[in-house]
Amino acid sequence: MFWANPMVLGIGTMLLSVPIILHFMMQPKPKVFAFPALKFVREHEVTNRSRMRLRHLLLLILRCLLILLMAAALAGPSVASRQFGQWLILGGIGFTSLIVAVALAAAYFGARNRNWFLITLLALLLMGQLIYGSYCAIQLMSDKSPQLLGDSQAPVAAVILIDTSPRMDYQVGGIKNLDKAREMGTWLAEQLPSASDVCVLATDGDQPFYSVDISAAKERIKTLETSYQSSFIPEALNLGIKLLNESEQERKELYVITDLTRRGWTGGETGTVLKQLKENEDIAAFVIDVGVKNPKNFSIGNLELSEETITSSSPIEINTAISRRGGAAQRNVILKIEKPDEQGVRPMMRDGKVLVPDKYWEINQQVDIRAETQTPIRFQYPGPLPQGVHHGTLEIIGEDGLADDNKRYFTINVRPEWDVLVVHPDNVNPANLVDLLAPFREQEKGTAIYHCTVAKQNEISRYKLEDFQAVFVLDPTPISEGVWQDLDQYVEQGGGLAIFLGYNAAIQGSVDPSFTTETAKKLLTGEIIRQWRRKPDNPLYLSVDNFSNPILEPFREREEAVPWNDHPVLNHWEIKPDGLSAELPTETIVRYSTGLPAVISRSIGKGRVVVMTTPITDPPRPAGRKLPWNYLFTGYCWPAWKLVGKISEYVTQSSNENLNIDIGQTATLRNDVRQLPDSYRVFTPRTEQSPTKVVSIDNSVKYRFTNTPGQYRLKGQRGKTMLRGFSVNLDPVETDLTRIETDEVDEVLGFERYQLAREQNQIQRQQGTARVGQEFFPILLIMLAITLAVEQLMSNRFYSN
Amino acid sequence: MSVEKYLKPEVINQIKRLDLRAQFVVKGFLHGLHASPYQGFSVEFSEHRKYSHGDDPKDIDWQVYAKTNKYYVKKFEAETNITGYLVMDLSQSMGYTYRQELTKFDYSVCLAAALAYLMVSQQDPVGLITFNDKIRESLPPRSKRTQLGNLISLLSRIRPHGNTDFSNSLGQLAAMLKQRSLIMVFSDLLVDDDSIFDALHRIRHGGNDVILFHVLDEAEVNFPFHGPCQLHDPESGDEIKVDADGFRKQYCKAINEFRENLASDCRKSGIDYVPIDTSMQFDKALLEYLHSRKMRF
Repeated sequence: MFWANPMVLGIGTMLLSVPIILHFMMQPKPKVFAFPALKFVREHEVTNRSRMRLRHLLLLILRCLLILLMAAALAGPSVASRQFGQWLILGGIGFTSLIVAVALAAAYFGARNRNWFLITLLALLLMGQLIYGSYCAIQLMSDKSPQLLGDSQAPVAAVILIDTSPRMDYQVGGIKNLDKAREMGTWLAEQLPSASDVCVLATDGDQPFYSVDISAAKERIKTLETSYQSSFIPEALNLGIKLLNESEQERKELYVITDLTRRGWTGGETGTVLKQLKENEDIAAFVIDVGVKNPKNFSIGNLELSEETITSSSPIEINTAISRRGGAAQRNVILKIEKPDEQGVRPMMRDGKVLVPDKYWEINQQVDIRAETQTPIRFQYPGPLPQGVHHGTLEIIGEDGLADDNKRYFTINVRPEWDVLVVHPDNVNPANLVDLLAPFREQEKGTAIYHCTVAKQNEISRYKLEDFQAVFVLDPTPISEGVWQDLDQYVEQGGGLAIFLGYNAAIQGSVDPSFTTETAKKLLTGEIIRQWRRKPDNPLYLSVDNFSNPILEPFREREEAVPWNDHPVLNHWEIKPDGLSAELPTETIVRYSTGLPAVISRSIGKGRVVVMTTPITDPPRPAGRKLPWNYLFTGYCWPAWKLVGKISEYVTQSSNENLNIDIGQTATLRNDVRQLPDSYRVFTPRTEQSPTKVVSIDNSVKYRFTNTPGQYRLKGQRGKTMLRGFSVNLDPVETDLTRIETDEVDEVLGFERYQLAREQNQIQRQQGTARVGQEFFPILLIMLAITLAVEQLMSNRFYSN
Repeated sequence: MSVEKYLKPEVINQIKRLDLRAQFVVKGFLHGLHASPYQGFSVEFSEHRKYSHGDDPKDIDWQVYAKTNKYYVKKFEAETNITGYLVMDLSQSMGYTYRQELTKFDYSVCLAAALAYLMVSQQDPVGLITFNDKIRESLPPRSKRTQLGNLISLLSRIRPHGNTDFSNSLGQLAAMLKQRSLIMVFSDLLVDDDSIFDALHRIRHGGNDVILFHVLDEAEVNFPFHGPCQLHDPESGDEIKVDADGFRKQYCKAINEFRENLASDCRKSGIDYVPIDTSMQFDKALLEYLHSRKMRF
């Protein structure tokens, strides 16, 4: 039998002595009177004395029973076996029926002047009890459910799943939700019978396992910490249920200790959990809510940097939004950008702790944050910044329930402009591309990212290709094999090449043979086999099936809404993939509406090639021709601009450096070993953690242990100390404290398939019932009320005068 | 205790207009209210009636015969006196009261004083006898005015004490009586034996007129106690613990049965039974009784 508050039972038992002491020890002394007519008293003395004793005894029993029932009800008793519980209830009903029957008999036979109201009342009470008792007895007899041992100490298999999401760091009065969860989990483990199989499962993605014993489980609970890479609760539940099913214990219990925030419950395979719990009815599920119903929190959204890679004279612009849950407020938001360490030694490890630069450029802004909505905020740092990698933070100052989302990290790379070579024949105007890569205004201000060197196609051999990060070849005329081989060698060494085929590649309607040499085919990702022409009334359009390539990143959010149809394509070349596709990673990024490739990329050696099978330089009315090959750059042609801009980033591999990533993503930094170190030491945000070594492979450095938000600093040596780095942030949705509704939990676990509790005593009572048991609180209260009523009636009757 | 306490002027004013007549014919030659069987020696003419055989010829009124030529006999009614005895129970129980001003004994003395006054004022001799287990005090009957003072003086001196032996005491009294008398008994009759009536019958069969004043305390009638009580008998010293609240009805029923049985027995024996409790105003109780008696005779 379980007692939710055994102390109350002890106190009740002690209190039980009060009426007994009053009865036996402190009986009031009778008042003494002289009375001559004693002979009339003597005649009925024996009867009177017996009746008086009987009444006192009956009242004593009733009062003792009152205290006992009250203490028992408050102590919250329950038993693990339902059948055993029903037998107990039946016994209780029998006992109270006996009391009512005695009271009824006393009222009927004990008094000469019968109180018929009292007798009727007691008779009705007795009848009600007998009917209820009969009902319980019938139920008990017809209960065919498997009867488990009544012993509540029989071992169970239990999985205690503790939500370790970052939201569990929410604190009120210095106590985190995780602290409460740990306390609850420890208490739960203590409640389990010894020899039980206990698994402490966290939402950190680890595989579940049964602890050696309950003490080991408690130790594991103590050491649990929040994980920034938290899995969804349904995912963890699937693992937990699977483990429970492997257990041979008869009783199986699943506890989920969580703050009931929606984010944790609405991912993963919820249907599987529902199905598994339906199939395994022997698993008793409990959800223990340790969350706060109306949390108060500030949070910074994702940072939108104007550019991750800028030139030193470029300004930095950061846009974001601040959310507030729990009423409007005013807060200071501070932007900090690290100043490079003057000695050039930081980051460094000293006395077991990582030291990082501690001087900043700062901008402070006071923000009136609106309640329950997002308040946009913009920071602009005018610069200039010295070349190199700069880390910075944006932080809300002041105390808050959840600190993790009050600070965001960012990293920017300040570097010289990218030198690119734009090659064009005489009849092609490169102005469009040059203006796109290095707008005139930016060139004047010195903030342009690219520095364009324009060269005519027949002069290309005069330039040293290695001096450029990329070469753009616009609508080329026939190219000599020597140039093709120079370009091939250049790409192999890590250069970027973008070829936009067009009208000039054709001779008398078919492709010039110089475009079909082996080297040309390698760089053009295949063999040009024909030119397609469409009439203006039946043009082609660009079309995208898969947006995963970084070139298509600007179109991902819009997808169907991109106005490709405003920019028809009339002519294009068809390239037939060659046999090198398996050897050299080749991908068709954009197609025409006929399905033929429009933009194709290929990695060759350390470099990249992008081929577009229609030009980007044809004016609407080209000289000597009736129609242009396409209208990509006519009107409001933002898709074409974005597409070409991204092709530029792709071939220069500047887009390959994503300096600001989310938790869990792999950081990839371009690393040209001709100029940069071939290995680095990585200093993580965990200042107590020693740096680890990473090695450059294929001209890039990859680091995948990004499980903590903050700044990751790479320190390498190549003649001098060279610093690089990136920032990792927690996705704002991971700190969304919106609570889930009960019906949404029902969707995961099933309606009435689990029991929701907030307090230990709730769990204990429900635990008893769930172990095919029974709790007695309601029935004890009913018995208490009946006994109280009988006691009142009897005492009023006995002492009516 | 002074005479005034027992015989207050307002009580005298109430009762002096009444009389206490014997319910039988009193043999005697003295003046009084009571009918005498001795005719011819009295001055009080009663009536004429026709002569019938057996009448004494000397009673024939010859003047009437001369006028009517018929024999009429003259009848005279003699007035004479009755001797009254106030018989007081002196036992310990008579000294009890629970919450009244007067004990049963004081109450009885008041009644006796009033009756004594009444008898003396109608020139009847009245005497006093007190008893508990036997006759303790006696004052011979006198009809003088000083008798009242003597009688009350004696009553005020004595205190209730001892146990009651009702039959023995009344047996003694019966032996003492020389002529038919009016016996007024004042007692609570709280005795254990059932021989009360044997003694009363004996007196009654002696031709005496008996009035039994059954005086109980108000608490003995109503049982006004509450809760657990320990009751003790002042005469026997016995003690009993009872739950008063649960016992009241039974007790009241028992005492009423006792009084009803007494009333019934007295009625059968020609004894006047007057049940009184000390919560009643004794003058009113007495007046009520005397009125009812007057109506009967």
